[in-house]
Amino acid sequence: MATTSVPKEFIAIDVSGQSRPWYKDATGAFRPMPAKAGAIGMLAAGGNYIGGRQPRLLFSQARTPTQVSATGSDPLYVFSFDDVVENATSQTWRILAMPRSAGTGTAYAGKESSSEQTEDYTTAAITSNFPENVFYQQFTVDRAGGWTAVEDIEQGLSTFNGYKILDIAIEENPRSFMTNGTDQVIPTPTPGSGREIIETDPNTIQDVIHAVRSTNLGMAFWYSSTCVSGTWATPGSTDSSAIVTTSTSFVNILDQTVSARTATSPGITAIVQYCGRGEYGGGTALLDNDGASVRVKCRVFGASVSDDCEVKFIGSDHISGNEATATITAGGSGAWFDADDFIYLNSTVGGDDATTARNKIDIHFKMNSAGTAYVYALAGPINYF
Amino acid sequence: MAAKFTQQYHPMYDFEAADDRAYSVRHIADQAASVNNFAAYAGAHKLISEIYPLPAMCLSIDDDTDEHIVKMWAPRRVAGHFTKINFQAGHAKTSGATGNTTWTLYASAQMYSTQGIVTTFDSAYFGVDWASAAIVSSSSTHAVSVATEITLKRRGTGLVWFLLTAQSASSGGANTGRLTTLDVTPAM
Repeated sequence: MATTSVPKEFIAIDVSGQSRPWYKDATGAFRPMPAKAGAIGMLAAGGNYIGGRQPRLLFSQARTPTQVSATGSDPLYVFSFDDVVENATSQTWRILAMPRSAGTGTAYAGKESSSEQTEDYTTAAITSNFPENVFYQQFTVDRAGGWTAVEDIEQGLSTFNGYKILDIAIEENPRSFMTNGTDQVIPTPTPGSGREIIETDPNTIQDVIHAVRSTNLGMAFWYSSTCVSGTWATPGSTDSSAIVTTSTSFVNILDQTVSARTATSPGITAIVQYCGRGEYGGGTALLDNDGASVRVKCRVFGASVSDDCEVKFIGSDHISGNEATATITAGGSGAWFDADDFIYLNSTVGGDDATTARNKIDIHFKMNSAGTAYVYALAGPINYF
Repeated sequence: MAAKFTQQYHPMYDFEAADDRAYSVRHIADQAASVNNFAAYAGAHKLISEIYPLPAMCLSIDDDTDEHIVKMWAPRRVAGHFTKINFQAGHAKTSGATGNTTWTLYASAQMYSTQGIVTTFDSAYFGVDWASAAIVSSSSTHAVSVATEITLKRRGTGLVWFLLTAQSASSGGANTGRLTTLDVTPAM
């Protein structure tokens, strides 16, 4: 099947030399002038680049040497993302690790319930030093069975026999070539000099741009606690195995002495200026084509004892009531729960905004009555609307 | 038409070339702006996003007055047109601390040599291609800060390695600091 090569680097598209709106004829009159074919070539190259060369980072989790699990767990971390990018056919799982300090046999890290894993680590347990003993490994995870858009993928990373992982980063892989008719690609040859522009050229370009722009959206936040020996622990206080609360009023999950979102309260920051859709609408009403907003889906993995726990995600203050709540229902030992709504980031403010309008997501939680809740993981994929 | 980046995306309608809805300069400009906008902004996917819940999971340092490494990450693939790195963090110093705490994020296109780096950070182990930016915790009141953009020293797409150091301005038991969040994003 024919393939199309993808430019290795992005070059900003400037069609000013290829597409001028008017020209002056011999009589001095201004007349409309069509685009040159060269403009199509530039758009095709740019469209293919953003479709093939700007894949997402789906999850990462780093620990300090004192926080890292020395024994391993299956799973160790859990995470969630939307798998809706047609061109993303595989992932690279990048791992920074330390020599094991416990365990015997073959140590390794891998995708939960899968044979995709790092190369075997067989060196016996030693006392290692940070940072001079860190080492790097990676492995590839293929999207088996072709592409089907699936939201809310739930996966895990596992470590075995003392594999000591400092950081995991899961990235979708870029594409050097894409398959015409299968991938979201603008096939070559694009119109060359002297060739007329036919209807399918601009429509194909438009289709690819729209597909990429509406699916290849990154994550606003992610987090995973450390699972212990395959069981989600119920510690008495916050540690690496859970964020714990018994509060019956909303408190910030990062600092439970904080109960309000302010410009400086603990929260996850994001840079999304110009990442909205449509023209700036202004005002506080959320319009479908209001370019002032970036939509974020919020998920939490947790467990609750005695009663339900509400986890509230609070977005930027450019929209009144910009909140979404996920309810961790009582019982069970850990499951994903979806928020009842989306939250919206403000694409009209820059990353250096220091007011309450800044793009900062505060997360609060509370028990509905006496009991204890455990937040193990969070996921916030940016979502097109 | 110069390249536009800051025009936000809006869906475009189908059109027919050589008809009354010709493939106009406006269409081309809109499509070019959409591609440029995605490449620069919507496609600037986060590289690191971390939270450090209190009390046990906060990223805290002791009163070490040497600059020392507190965290390292596996490398991230960063597209070539991103020449800068944004570093944001939520942070505070401990109540009663007399000295500030400085958090410095280093980025390098070369994998650093960790040989010899034990506690005292030595930028020489990055070779020549490292760059950094710092956030200073100067108050016990929690703050959310944006560091000066890090300008990457490299050419073209490739892996970028990150590590975080901390340094206390004064020694003594109370001279500690903590992070609550850390977010890293590429930029043009």
